[in-house]
Amino acid sequence: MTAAAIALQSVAKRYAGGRVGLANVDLEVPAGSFFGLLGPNGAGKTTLVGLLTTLVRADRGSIRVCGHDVATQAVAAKACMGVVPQEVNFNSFEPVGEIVEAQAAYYGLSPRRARERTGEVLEQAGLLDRREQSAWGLSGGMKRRLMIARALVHRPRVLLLDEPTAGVDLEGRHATWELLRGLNADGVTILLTTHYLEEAESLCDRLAILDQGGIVARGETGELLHGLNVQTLVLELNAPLDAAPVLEGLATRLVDAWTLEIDLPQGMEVNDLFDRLGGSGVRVAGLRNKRNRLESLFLQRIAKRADALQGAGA
Amino acid sequence: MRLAAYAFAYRGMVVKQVRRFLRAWVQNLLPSVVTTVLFLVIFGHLIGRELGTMRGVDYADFILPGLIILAVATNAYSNVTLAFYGARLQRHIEELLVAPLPAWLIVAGFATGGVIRGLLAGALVALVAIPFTHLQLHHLAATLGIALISALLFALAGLLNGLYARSFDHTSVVATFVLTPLIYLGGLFYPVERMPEPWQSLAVLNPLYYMIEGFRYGLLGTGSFAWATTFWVLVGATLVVGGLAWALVARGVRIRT
Repeated sequence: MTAAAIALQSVAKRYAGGRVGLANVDLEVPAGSFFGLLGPNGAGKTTLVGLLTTLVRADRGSIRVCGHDVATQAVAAKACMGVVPQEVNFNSFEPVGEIVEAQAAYYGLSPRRARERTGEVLEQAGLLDRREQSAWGLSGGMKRRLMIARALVHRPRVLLLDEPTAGVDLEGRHATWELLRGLNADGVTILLTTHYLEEAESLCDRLAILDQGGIVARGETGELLHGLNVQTLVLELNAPLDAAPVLEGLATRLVDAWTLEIDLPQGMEVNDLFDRLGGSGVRVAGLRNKRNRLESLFLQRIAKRADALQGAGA
Repeated sequence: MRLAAYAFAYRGMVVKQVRRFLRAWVQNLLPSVVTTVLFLVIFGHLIGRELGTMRGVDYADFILPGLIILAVATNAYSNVTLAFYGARLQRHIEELLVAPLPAWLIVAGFATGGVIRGLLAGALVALVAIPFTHLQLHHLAATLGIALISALLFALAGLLNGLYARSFDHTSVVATFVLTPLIYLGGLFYPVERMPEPWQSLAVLNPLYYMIEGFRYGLLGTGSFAWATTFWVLVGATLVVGGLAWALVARGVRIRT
C-alpha cells in the first residue's frame, strides 16, 4: 500500500456568513501520484489548498502532509510543500531572481545555495534571461511560471498547484505540462486543481470531483472514465439525411443534414454501432466525441449531486 | 539544523526589507533629512539665536537629539507599517505564511527592517546636522541603547498598524495624528520643566518624553532623569508590544482566513 502524501479526515470549513468551504471531506493523495482536483467555481478547491498551506484554518478534522499534522506540526508540514497559488502573490516591483531567492531563504537554504537553486529553477521555467528584470514586466504566463519556479526552489516532496495554467496560452500550457510531468516522474507528488478538464485527463493518474464542499467522485482517472454510463458521439455523414435514423435502444439526433449525434451507452462497442448504422444505410465519413470524456463525467456527477440535493429539499 | 535554517530565513527577510526601502530611498530616507535641515536652519539658527541657550547649550544643539529620535521612530514605524500592509494588500505575505517559519521569526524579520531604516535615517540626520550644530557624544551606550530600543519599539508598533490597516489612509493616521504630536509635545523643542501646568504634568505621561530625554542625555549629558530608567521602561514597552505582535501573527489575525 502506498503511503499518503496528503491525508484529510473529516475536514470541515465554513466561512463567516455561513458559506460552506468544505463539508466533512475525507481525501488521500498517495505519495508519488499526480492528483487532479476538479469542481465548478466555489466548489471548495481553493479552500482545500488553503487548508493544506495553513492560509485557511479548518473548523474541524485532521490534515496531514508528508505525515505531519498541519495544525500541530506546521513547520515540518510546510517544509515539504511547494505552493503555486491561483492569484499572483509576489511583489511585482522586485526582480524575478530576488523573488525566488527570498523564497529559497525562507525555506532555510544558505545564500549560496539559494542563488544556485534560483538559477536552476528559473532555467527550468524558461525565465533565466529575466532574472534581473522586474516581475512587473512579465506576461501573465511568465508570472505563472515564476510562481512554479518559486515553489520548486526548495525541492518540495509535495507540490500544490491551484489552477496553474489559468489564462496561459496553449504553448505555455503545454510547456507547464511537460515541466509537471517531469517533476512527477522524479517522484514529486502533485495536487492540481484545474478548470481545464483535458489538462486533468492528460496529466492526472487520480482524480476527485468537488462540488459544494463535498467530494462527488474520486478514483483512478481511467477507472472513473470507464464508469461513464454514456458518451455522445458526433458523426460526420457521407451523404445528407432528412431525418435521424431510428436505432433501437439508442438516442439519435440530427444536428444538420450532414451531422448526426448518437448517445452510446456504456458496454456497447463502436463496431456494433457502425454495423447498425450501415444496416440503416447511413454512411459515416468521420467521428468524434462531443465532449472530452472527463467533461462528460464531470457534468454527470455534478448533475447527479444537484438532483440529489433537489430531491432532499423536495 | 533548524536554527541554521531560521538564520538563513531571517537574513532573507531582512535583505528583502532593506532592498525594499532602498529601492525608493529618495522617498524613504530624504524627507527626514530635509525636514531636519529646515528645523535646524529656521528654529536652530534664525529663531534660536533670539532664544539663547537651553540647559547650557545652543538651541540648535538642544533640539538636535529630539530631531534624530524623531527620524528614528517615524522611519522605523512607517517602514514596517507600509511593508506589512503592502504585503497583505498584494498578498505576498503568503510567501512567508506558507513557508516553514514560526510567527516570531516573521515578526523579527519585519521589525529588523524597520530598525535598520530607523537607525539609518537617524544617522543621516546626525550627519547633515554637523555643519549646523556642535554634535557631541556624551554617553555612547545611552545614545546607541536608546536609539536601538526606540527603533525596535516603533517598528513593532508599526507592525500592529500594518496588521490592522484596511487602507493606505490607515497606514499614516497613527504616525500623523498620534506619533508626531506626542514627539513634538515630549520636549523636542523646549525643556518640559519650562512648560506651565498642567502641560508639565501631562508631559510626564507621554512615553516619548522619556525617549527624547534619554537620548538627549546620551548626546549632550543633560536630562531630567537617569537614562537607564528610560532604557528599561522602553525595554518593557517593547516586550509588551512585541508580545502582542507575535500573538496576533501567530493567531493569523487578518492574515489567515
